[in-house]
Amino acid sequence: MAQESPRGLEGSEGGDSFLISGSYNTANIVPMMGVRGPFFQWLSPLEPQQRHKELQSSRLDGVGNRFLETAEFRKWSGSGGGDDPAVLFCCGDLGTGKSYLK
Amino acid sequence: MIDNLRDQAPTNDIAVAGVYCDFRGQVEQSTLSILGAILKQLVGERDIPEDVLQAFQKAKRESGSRGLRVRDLTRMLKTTIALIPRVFICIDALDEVHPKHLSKLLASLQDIARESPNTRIFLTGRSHVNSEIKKNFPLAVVAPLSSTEGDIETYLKMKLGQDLKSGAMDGDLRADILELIPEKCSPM
Repeated sequence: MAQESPRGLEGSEGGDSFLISGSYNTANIVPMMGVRGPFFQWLSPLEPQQRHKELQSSRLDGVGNRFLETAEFRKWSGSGGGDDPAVLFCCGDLGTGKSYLK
Repeated sequence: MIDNLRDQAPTNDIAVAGVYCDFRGQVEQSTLSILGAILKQLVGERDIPEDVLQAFQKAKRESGSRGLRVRDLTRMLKTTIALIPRVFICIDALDEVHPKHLSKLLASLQDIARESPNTRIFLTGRSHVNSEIKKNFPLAVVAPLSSTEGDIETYLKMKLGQDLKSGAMDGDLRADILELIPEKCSPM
């Protein structure tokens, strides 16, 4: 195995290793897909996409639509910057469907 | 919410990140890991910004530890957000984040929103976190959500449709369920 250069990176997943040694040219052709996995692992162990998929599959069409039609939601999500509020806080008790808003 | 926002614009012009908090996972849901999960999703399939990639490479070289700090992640988020026309960050069940992480998380989001006006933040939670949110975002819009009778009826109809023991149900019982439960559940 070659020595790791200062610019080198070692993929932590088996089969996805991309140890680089030497020239800058080699470093430049590091496939981004190879960096992405270890980079994402470094950023966070959380995988909220999994929870998102669960909610997606158990969500009923139409539930919570009234919220998405409110003036508050439209103003917040609209593209006009400036004075539009940056933060929208949707508050409600347990089981009111906050997580299920489409 | 995330799907609705994603449908608003072509993928290149918009990035949506969402995190679901759960009191059962408070240990894992630190400020760092929540911010990290947001950054992962904002980068998604996009090119990793040069500065961010360099920080990762430097951390990899220097030690085996993750070596990430909230300050670093906040900066990386700002760098990434600056390259995307519109960014939505959604955090569900903020009241289930451990209090010691909540204030740091909100401070970081405030820092990001101040420097990146293209960012919109959607938070959900029970009403008691409102005072925490207002400390960082005095102008936050608060939108109360309660289930509507229509939502409850939709759900009940789905559940009744799944009932396998059809012999136990008759028209009157079904009608009573669909009338009384939505009425009792809805706010006065």
